Amino acid sequence: MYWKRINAFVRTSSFRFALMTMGIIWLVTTLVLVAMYGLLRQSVWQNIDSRMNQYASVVTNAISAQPDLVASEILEQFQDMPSFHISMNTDTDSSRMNDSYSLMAEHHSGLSRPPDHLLHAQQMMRNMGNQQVMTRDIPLPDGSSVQLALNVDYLDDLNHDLFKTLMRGILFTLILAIVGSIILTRRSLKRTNQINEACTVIMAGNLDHRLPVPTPNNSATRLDDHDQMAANINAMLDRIQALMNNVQQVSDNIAHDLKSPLARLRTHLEKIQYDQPSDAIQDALNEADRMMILFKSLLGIARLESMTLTHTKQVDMSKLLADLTELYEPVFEDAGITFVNAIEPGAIRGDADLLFQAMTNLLDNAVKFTPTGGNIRLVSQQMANGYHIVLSDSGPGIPDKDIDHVMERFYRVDSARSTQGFGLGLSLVKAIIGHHQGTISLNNRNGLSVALFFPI
Amino acid sequence: MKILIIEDDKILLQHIKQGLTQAGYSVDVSADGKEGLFMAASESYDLLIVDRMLPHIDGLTIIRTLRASHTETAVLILSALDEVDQRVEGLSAGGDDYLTKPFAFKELLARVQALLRRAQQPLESVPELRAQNVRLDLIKQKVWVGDTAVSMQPREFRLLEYLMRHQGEVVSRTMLLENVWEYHFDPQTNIIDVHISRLRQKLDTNREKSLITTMRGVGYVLETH
Repeated sequence: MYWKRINAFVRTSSFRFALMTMGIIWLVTTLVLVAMYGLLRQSVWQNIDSRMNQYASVVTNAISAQPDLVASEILEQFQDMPSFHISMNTDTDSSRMNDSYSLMAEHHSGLSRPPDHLLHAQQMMRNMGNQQVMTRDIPLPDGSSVQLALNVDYLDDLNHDLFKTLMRGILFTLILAIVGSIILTRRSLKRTNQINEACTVIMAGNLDHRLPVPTPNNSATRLDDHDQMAANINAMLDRIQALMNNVQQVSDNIAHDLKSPLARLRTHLEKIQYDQPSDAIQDALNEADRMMILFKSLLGIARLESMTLTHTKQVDMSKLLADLTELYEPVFEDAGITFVNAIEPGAIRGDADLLFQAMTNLLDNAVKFTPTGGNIRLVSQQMANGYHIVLSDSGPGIPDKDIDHVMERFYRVDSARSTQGFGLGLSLVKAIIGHHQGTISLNNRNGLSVALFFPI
Repeated sequence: MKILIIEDDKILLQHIKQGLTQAGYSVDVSADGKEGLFMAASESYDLLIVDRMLPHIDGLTIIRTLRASHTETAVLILSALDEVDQRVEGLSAGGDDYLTKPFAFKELLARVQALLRRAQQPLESVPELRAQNVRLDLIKQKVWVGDTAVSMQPREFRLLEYLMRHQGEVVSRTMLLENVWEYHFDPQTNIIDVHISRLRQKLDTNREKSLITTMRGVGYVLETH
């Protein structure tokens, strides 16, 4: 359940968008930080190099001023140089070959590693008494050389601290990006959910329901895109409802306008029948009644499909099904059909008359198509998600090519064309079930099996 | 027995008037809502037959107005609107019965008789019902044909009780379904006929003519003799 919610949350387009935006911001921040780090390293080493150059030129100048100075004298003269150490270069050519400057440099990383272009034959990194130093060889006229050394050991600590800070910064912005995305998404999702919930209520048939739109109490209150969308949907619903009311009005008028002439026709026929009774007139009367039934059914289906339940009551389904069973028992007996039922207690909200009518239509069908000696089973169950009813018979079922269409208006299976009816019975059942937010499904299982489900 | 009909369809109005007059009732008519309401409020009637859609004042408003002024006259609503919700609406406005157009005049007559009878004598008042040689004991819930006790299932008993309370009157299938099974809709199958024929089997032993007569296209009558 929890995972499902998280999954749904992550899948929302708002979250993806927010995450993408935040991701880009994070990436840019990281790039800036990394670039800063690189620039800092450049600048630190440039600085070190220029100091090296500066002192080296001081020493070189002294040597060129007094070309006959020997190494020890030079050492003595520059002993007190601040922050520098000067010493005899004890390296031999062979050790220089083995202890290559580049190899030496590779022991270091990040900030404490000098850029390659600053390292050359005269300048390199060395380890001097556990201290990292940068050295510069200065050749003397007599062929020997002295070595200038600058302590750069502090760079290791600096690098360590800087790297740690940098990583924390990147991690922090990453967390900020994710948390920010979630907060932003939740805000936008709250509105989307409001709209979705309102739509569900409307789809369930409550056509008067509208989406919440904040009323702009002063001109400073701006409607955001969600508010505008909600306002537009509301306007659309108003329009649809107006149109539907029109249709409703028109169909009511048709009902009235067509029923009244039919009623008059029937009245005239009845009068004639009263004065001069004849079978022909009775047939005409029956035909008028049949027309009326057709008309009522059609209008009834249309109204059921477009209207919501208004006069709903708690309907005891077990009582309703028991009444139904009792009403039909003599019919089963006369038709030689075995009837089996297993009815569980349960209740749904709805209209008992409509539900009973739907069930009688289904039972009439079952009786009509079940041969003598066959059986009809009525099983109902109260489950956690709603009330289930299954009505099955041992008749021939419905041909596969027809089974998806039998609930359409005026659709009749070929074999049923000769029998009485308009092909509206199952349409009416479907309309009634749909009116109760229920579902109906037909299956061929050694006969026809009709499954009804009314969700809680 | 005085009946007022408020109906704007003149042909239907004349037809109903003629039929009810022939059946022995005194009938006043009005084709306008306003006039009808005035007549209903100023004179004393035993029954009102009111159409829903009327000029000036609609039928439900007439009923509500009358009920608000404590007029308890029985009201039969006529309407071309036959949705369940509208029927409930009509009955909750104060109507006593609801009949949808078009209807067989006999169905209307049956309902008129039932309403007038209900107004005259409340249901609970009798301990026993009799018709020909059939005796129905409402207290013991038993039925006798002559001297022979006949066993009845509870619903059969209620069906017979309803027919006997309305003996000599036509009762329609819809009325039976509504009053005996307490579900309202127009049955389009022979389901009620099956129950009636069961009842006949139990009651018609040694009888030349069946106790219950079928009125073609309308319903049944339990014959008084």
